Amino acid sequence: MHIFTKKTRLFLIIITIVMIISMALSTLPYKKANVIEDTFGIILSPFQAITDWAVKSTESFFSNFISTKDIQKRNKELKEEVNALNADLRELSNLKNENQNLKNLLELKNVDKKYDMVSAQVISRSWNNWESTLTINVGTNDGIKLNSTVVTDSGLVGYVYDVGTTWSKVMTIKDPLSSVSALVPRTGDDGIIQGDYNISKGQFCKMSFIDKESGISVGDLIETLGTGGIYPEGLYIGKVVEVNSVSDGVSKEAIIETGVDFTDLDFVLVIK
Amino acid sequence: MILVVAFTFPFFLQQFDAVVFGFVCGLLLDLLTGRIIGVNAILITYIALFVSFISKKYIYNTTINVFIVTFVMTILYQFIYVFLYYLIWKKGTIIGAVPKMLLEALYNSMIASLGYYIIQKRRKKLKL
Repeated sequence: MHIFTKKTRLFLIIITIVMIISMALSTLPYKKANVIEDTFGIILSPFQAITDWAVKSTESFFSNFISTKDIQKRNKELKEEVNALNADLRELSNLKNENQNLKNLLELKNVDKKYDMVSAQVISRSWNNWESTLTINVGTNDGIKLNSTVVTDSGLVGYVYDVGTTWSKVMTIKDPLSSVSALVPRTGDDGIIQGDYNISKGQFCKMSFIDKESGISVGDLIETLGTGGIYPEGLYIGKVVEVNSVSDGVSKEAIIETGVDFTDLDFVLVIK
Repeated sequence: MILVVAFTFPFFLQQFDAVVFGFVCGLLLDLLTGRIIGVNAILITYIALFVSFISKKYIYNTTINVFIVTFVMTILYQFIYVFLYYLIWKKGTIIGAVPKMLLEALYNSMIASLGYYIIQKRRKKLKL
């Protein structure tokens, strides 16, 4: 006597075969989404946006009660930070004017490196502990291509790994499968930024393969190196909060606090 | 929440219905956020089948059993996920993932048992 009914067995066999084929196809190098996937993406995008809004609203409602004291303390710290930044801004403005005057004197052409960007709203984010991905509401209709870099004014977010006509999926730098070649501008050392679910709480990721003799230290800023074919150079990633030696004895590791707060990410910019 | 629904509803469903329901939930999860389409679909289909099977044959449908089953199934689901990451992509450690697994399993179980309790009350009221 069979444990499962004939109908159940048949259904299980069919979907197992179909899903194994689907899994195999999904591991092929990323390309533009096919018609079926694109259609599902277009249909589901509004529901994803609503669900994400509902979840964020609920989280925000409860966190207001729980973290009032923290909010007040943080508010005071931010006010002091704003005052200090305003002072820096005034000084930088003076330096910028002086720089421009000097360039004019030397008759140098002032070339600004500007990226062509599209703004996008985050409509969904990964729902498990082992991935860090986002879905945004722009796609090929807006000029987005595979491997487009995604940033905010706080730093690097990630890159587009799947694109439809009106949606795109972004793998963030905190995802365990993400790798970013990174540079410490102060020392000139480089390494690889990788997500690690063991430290994915908060805004942290790991920088590995740093030379053992490197002078990297806590507080150093990290930016993209520009190798690897995806991320342009010079994009801010985060700052070093911890440096450790690795057991192999030939390299170091650093824990990086990302510039971007991934728990509070609603809008991003995509570099075309 | 999809996991909570996928692991709880099979208590009320017959075998084939549970399998179809699990497949739809898993496929939805894959399409919404997954990179490899099919992983969640297969995992959740078989877990839903297992839950439906044991709830009809071996255990009584009570709130505490729903809590235990959801807890165990969430751990199993996450363990398989972490194992795939470790085995295929050599990322992370299984021991390092245990606290996250336990936290999510506890969270899912609490919501599942609360949902089950509410549904059971409504069913009794409606005399279903």
